[in-house]
Amino acid sequence: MTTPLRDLIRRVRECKTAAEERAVVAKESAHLRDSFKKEDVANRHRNIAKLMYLHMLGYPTHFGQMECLKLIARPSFAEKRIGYLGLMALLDEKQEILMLVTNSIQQDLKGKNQYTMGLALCALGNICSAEMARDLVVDVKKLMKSSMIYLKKKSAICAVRLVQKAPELLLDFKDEALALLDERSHGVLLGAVTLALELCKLDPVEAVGWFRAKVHNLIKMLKHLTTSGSGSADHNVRGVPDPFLQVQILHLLRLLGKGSPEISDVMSDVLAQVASNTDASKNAGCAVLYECAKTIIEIESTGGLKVLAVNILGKFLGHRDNNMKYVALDTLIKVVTIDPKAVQRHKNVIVQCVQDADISIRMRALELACALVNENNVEVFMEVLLQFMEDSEVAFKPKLVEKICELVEGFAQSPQWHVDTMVELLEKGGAYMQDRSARSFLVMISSTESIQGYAVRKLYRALFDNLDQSSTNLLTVALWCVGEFGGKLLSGEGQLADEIPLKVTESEVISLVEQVMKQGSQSDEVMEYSLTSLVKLSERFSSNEARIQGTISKYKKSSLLELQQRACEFDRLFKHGRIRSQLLETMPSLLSGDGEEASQGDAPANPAPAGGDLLGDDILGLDLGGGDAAPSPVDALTDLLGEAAVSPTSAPSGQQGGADLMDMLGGGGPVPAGAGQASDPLSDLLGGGSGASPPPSPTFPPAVVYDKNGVSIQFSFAKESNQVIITAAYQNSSPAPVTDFVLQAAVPKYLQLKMEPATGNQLGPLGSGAVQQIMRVVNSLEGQKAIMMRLKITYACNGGQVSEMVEVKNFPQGL
Amino acid sequence: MTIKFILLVNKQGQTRLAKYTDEFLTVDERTMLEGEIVRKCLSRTERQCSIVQHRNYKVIYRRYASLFFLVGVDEEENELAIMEFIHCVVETMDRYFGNVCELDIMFHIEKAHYLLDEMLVNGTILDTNRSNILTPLQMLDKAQQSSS
Repeated sequence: MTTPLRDLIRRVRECKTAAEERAVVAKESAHLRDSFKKEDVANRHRNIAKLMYLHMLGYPTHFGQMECLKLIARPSFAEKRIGYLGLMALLDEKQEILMLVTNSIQQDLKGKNQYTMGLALCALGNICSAEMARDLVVDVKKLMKSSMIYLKKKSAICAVRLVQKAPELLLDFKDEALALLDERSHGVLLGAVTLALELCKLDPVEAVGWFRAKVHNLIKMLKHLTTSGSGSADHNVRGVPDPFLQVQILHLLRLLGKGSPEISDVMSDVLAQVASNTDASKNAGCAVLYECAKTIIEIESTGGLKVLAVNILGKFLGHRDNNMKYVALDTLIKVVTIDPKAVQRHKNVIVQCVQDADISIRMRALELACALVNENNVEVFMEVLLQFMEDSEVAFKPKLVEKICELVEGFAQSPQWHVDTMVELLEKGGAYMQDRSARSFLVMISSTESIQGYAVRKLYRALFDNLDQSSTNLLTVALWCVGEFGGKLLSGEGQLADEIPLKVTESEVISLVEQVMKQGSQSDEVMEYSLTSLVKLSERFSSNEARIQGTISKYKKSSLLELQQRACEFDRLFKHGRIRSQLLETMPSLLSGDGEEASQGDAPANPAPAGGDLLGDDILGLDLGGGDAAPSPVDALTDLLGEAAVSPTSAPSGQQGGADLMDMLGGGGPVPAGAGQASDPLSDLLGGGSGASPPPSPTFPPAVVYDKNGVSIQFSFAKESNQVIITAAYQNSSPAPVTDFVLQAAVPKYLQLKMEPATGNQLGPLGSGAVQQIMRVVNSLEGQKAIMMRLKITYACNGGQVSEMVEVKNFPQGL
Repeated sequence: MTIKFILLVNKQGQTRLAKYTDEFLTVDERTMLEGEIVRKCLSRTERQCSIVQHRNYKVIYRRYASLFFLVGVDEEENELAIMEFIHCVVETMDRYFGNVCELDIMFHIEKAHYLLDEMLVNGTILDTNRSNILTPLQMLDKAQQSSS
């Protein structure tokens, strides 16, 4: 016994909990399945409607798909109607069912009743797959030529789906699509223009060409719509003649005009006409104007017309309706990269939008406003933005702060302004600032020596004034600077003309840092920064060393592991007076390493602080118990090991033939060689103490090992620990070019040879285009046996092949 | 250039009509998407603009008494034209049902779908003229009356 849909809805609505609803739906689904099994023909119609309802509520309905097919095959229109509806709505990704329905649709497309045919077109337009498109393209094309408007408009839209699914059908629709553009009915025209748009998108070259030939038709159509004001009165929307058709035509014109100055020129008149004649007081009119502006901007239009388009959008910005503002901002953001000057004119109203009540408008306005900022107006803009910073809502602040940071970094006119703005920002919105921005501010200070004094004093004041409510970012930036540039803080170094002198004493500074640490709510990060700041100050304020040491030792019992470790290490540091001053030196400019790590290659040469990050993590890595240990030997070792591990992979390329030789000689060698090589610099470092550089390597005279037919090979030597690096330079002094130059080398077993690929295999005539190749040799019997080598040289010259063997024994002594 | 979905939702956030074009979302994906979008749009105030970016959709919504019409479109679509289209749908429903309300749409869900099918195919606008849209529907109604 089936109940009406109304009854089901009532029962579902009466459910108080989700569980009750599920129970009702499960019961009903079971009923429906039952009814389908019993082939309850009379109630099919009602059952599908129920399924639609359950589907909308988000329950599974796949079991009804077959039932829809059965309804579609029925003769009555009402049954077909609900069958098709169910098919379109209930179909899921399992598309096997589509195969079954193709035949029914074809039958209906060939039917007699235009509404049945329209129904099939509608279904096909919504669910068609690539196979169906290929099977039914002929039937759809036939209907596009039908005499009935209803079928024409539906088949045009249906064709859109067909080409979307099977783009190879594009050409099939060419004639029909062009013919439909000559129709008069708005419904058909809308479909025709939509189809044209789709074809142009799928084939931006050929199809665009077809429709460019029709551009005069389109212009006439648009002109008719704008001037007569009547068109077909049924399609008017509050006085605006068919806005939907106008929008589609303008969109199509956009695709046609793009990239073609001639076509763009042809349509410029009508675009200007639409832009000036459309009533902007109604939403429908605005939709047309908006589309028109987009078209003018994207086609190859003249400057004057572009200004007109930007002005339309500019007017939208002042509109009462927020949606107008939204679309205008959205479009202007795209325009500003192409034509910043035209947008610049609307600067004031854009800035007003930054203060709009609606956050989506504000976000976009901010983005646009920032795109308008340049060197000349950044200071004015910044005042507005910083002012706005204070009274904007919390959700908006992170975005605003991020933008301000970007602008300051990009357009700062002077370091002083940069520091002033950033400190103000840190005070007003430091909590919303990303760590990245705060770090890059530090990098800026550290790399601009002239501003360091001013910055540290400014930050000290900010820290002093905002002690109770300041953000982590302000605290860490200020603490870092106070630690690093403590000397400049007191001495007044780098005093700027308009700066108010700061009068503080060493103990006041230390007290301030201690005060920061005493506030119970500080984050771990702030505590760590404070501690590092203090240890740095102990070096700069030598008379207060004992006091600082006392403060630091308090944290040796901290429950925070990191803080405790730091305190212990720093405390030990006070006992090592000699290395302490080196460790606590001011950091070198952070510019190169982006505040993360100084370049790794420098690590062995520099004392520890240089290689560390801002927190001085490297200092913590020191084994202080071990006495004067070398700084971060681990890093240097991995670095070198890394290098050694990489080099075997850059073995000679097959083209050079060197690889074969390597194999012959037992190319497995590089691994022990690498290890030996790495251990050496390590022992060097460990033995040499901090900052010791390796002994200067002796120099060796270069040797010419081959010189015939104008082709010469010169070896230059360098020694790196136990490895000899030979740079072979090939040159050709004859007037004929040498091609296919390949050098192969063989060495006795006690040597290991690695060849890198040569820089080329062509030697230009008369010494032009020299080629280099690097070989690395490790001598396992160093001191007992000298290096020797056999070279095979092959090349082509003057049309002949040359192949030579040379033995090289005259390597310099001491290699 | 295409409408991806149309949702009709009441003030409580219950879906009263849903039409998806082109994309086959699973039941779960659909429920989740609807939940997210409805929460987002219904929490906005009157003063805020009616265009919301959600995932890769732009959602344009309009409120009529207790019913919200939400339309999801792709990036290229003309948002203002969609606003107008929503209004056109509402006016057409009004004409057909006579002062349309939430219950009309619920109890005649299939008819609401027929109506949309005459206005929209595959996410593109088919027709916006009220009499063109309603003629097939009225004929169907007549045929059903005479048969019953």
